[in-house]
Amino acid sequence: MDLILDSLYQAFLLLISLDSELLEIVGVSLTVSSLSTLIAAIIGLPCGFLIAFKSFAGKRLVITVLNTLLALPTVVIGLIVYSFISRRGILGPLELLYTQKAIIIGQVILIIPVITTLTIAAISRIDKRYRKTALTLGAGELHVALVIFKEARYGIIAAVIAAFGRVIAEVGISMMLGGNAKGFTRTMTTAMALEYDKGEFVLAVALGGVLMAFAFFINILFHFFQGRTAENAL
Amino acid sequence: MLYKIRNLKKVHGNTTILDIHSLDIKRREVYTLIGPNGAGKTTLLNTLAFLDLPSEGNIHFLGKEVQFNQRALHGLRRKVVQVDQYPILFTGSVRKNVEYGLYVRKTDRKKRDRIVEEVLEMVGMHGFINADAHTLSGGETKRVALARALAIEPEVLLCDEPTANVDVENQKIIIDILKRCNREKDVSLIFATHSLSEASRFADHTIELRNGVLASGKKSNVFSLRFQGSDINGGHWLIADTLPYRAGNGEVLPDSHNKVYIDPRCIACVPLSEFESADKQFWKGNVKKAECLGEEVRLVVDCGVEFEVLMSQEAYGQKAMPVNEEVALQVSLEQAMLFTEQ
Repeated sequence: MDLILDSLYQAFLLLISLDSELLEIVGVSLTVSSLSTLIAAIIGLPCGFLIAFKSFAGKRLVITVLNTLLALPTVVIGLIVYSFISRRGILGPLELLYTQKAIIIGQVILIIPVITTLTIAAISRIDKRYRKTALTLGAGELHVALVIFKEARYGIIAAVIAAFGRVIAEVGISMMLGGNAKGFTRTMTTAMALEYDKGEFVLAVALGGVLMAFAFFINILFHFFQGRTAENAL
Repeated sequence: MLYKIRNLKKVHGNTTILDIHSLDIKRREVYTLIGPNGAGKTTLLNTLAFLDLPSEGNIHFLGKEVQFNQRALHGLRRKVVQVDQYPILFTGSVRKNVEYGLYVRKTDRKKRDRIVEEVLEMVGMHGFINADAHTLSGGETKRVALARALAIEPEVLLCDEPTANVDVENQKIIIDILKRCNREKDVSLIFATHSLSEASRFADHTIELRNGVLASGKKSNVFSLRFQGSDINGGHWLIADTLPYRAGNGEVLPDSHNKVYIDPRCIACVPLSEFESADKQFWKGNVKKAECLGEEVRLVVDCGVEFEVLMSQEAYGQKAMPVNEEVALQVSLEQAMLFTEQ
């Protein structure tokens, strides 16, 4: 009990003193997670929109596969990406392994299904009359798409927030592809794992506190936008 | 000619929703589309709005055959606009909604603002120009949806049940707007309605659909009405120059009307054998046709004049009036719609 209380106290001191190592780790985490969420959103949102909007053969199969990919373990993604970017892999010459880019690639693969499936759900909930109304008022396909996107915006923002929450808390990809290099690829989760291995709980607990604060903030945002979606649906 | 429709079919699975052999619709005139639920009114409106593609057949619009490809349809949709039975407004202000059609047509802002103000004035919603569209009542939503449709100055305005589910005050306003847009802006108007009285009020033509097929152009239960006799106490009314009708106590029919529409749901129809006629005015007739229309049964009764009667399946089941059965019809003109037709 003393160990926990002492660690919590020391972690609190570390946080309020804005320790440089702690800030550096948080900075790497935020940079990597933000970039991977941005890239996944650029790919996942249009994909989700097209899948929800268009009728095509095999649509159900695509949605089933995407739903299955939601459960893909981070270590599996880590292994697959590793096989491509390791020195012997086909992308070996690009020297991506143990860089922030490698973590971003893995995380993008992790959250594209999250963003895509949640976008499909958000778009599918939108009243069909919006499309019909835009069409009859003379809108082309692009304008119709913009109308639907606007009406589904809260659901779409919630999808992006959920994806960000997923990557900032993952450890497998960051560890396997980033290598936990101090100042470069050490994220909050990999640093916590390392500190735990060393038996140093103070930094781990402090980082845990920051991560929990982020998780709390993300959840508040997520529920806010989910709530707006539900209000809009009424 | 606005629309020339030939051999049009719309099929969903094994069900034929619409089967129109031939239909011509003239420019700048008002058409009403009537028929019971499931008759195909909305499907026909969607087809005329180029939002729904037919399974077979062809449509000529303004003299040109319609090509059913996205590019051609997009061009045609810019001349035709449809207002749904339950219109939906986009998130944002009333102004943003009304200017949407102009925005996608790349109309410049000055012109857009002028048109938005003009059409909102026309529908009596100018005071709501900056209001959040989702805070409006049902009647106000319909009026804004009409303004949004009129803003693009369409060649054709299609309305699905424009006065359904709105209060009497808004119904009157909506009818007035439709009349004005036809008369002042030369917009061809086609609207679907359940209410034959509404149809009779200002439509130039009536298109009647039954089970997806065009019924006869004649409006059901619309008859001539004439007074015979020297004064109200000594004479009687004559329906379709055939059936006499004596006004009940205190029932005074204004003599300025020469037509009557009798709602098929307001006609009492019972087998003659079960009818107690004491002191009751009735007409004797034969059931010529009995058909099931959704949850209702439609009877065509010949009393010298053909009446259409609608009753619930439950009511019909209790009375059993097969074809050729002798029946008694009871009507009160107090409940009927009187109007003047030149």
